[in-house]
Amino acid sequence: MTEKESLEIIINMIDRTKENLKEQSGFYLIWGGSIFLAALVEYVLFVFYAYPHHYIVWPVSILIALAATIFMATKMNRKKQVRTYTDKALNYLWATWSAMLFLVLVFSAVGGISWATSYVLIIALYGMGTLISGGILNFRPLIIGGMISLAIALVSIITGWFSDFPSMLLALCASISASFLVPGYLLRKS
Amino acid sequence: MPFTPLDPVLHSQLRLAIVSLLMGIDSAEFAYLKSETEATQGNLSVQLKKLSGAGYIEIKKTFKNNYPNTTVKLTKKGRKAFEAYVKDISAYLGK
Repeated sequence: MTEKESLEIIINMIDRTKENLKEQSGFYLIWGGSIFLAALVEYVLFVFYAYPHHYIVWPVSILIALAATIFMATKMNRKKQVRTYTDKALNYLWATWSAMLFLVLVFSAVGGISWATSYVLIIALYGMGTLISGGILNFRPLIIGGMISLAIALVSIITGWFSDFPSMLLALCASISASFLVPGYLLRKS
Repeated sequence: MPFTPLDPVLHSQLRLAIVSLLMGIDSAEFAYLKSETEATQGNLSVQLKKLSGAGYIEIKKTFKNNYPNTTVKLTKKGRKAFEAYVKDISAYLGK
């Protein structure tokens, strides 16, 4: 084997480990769709029906999304024969992200912060997670979506919307559309 | 300036292909390496054993969907050896 042949093998092999972006899209669509619907249904229950247990939509939608995620991840792992550094980075990112989300939800549940305030933090968290994953995957719509979510969080703080619960539900819908639904759809089509 | 002799463990078509593939990923299953390198099962097994013997890769045998599953990962030693190999062939190519 000549040195030139060696180099050709190296280039050829390294070229084969390119990322499959498409397979990530399902997770964005599942979580984006379920959170968007939950926030919208909660808005309708709260504003139009004044239903006292409007928050019930959350455990229901999260459980459905979680079950769908586990089902999809198991199916994907069965087929997956390679673990890339991107997979590893995204796993760590979303695991840490979930822990942060849990922390914010517990903090709200014990009364440390109001639900409306926690929504600002959650919107900012969506922005953070999407922006970082966009950077890792080098996918511009995720980066832009993450920036939009962070901007929505900032505007909510500056304008004082965060103290108005129904406004925050609509802000959450806008954030999740920008950072999960639209990039998830574009990722699927990529 | 004399050229450094090329690492004989890496200077083989299939072993170099395996290590090059592993450079860009965290870990890979036997089936993935087999399909990407287009090697036969027997030849791949032999070359993996040689790489493992040199301490360049780590082989883990587990079960997946009730079937035996072999996962391969590059070690620090393997990564360094590959980097040195690339440096050495670059010197040869630049002569």
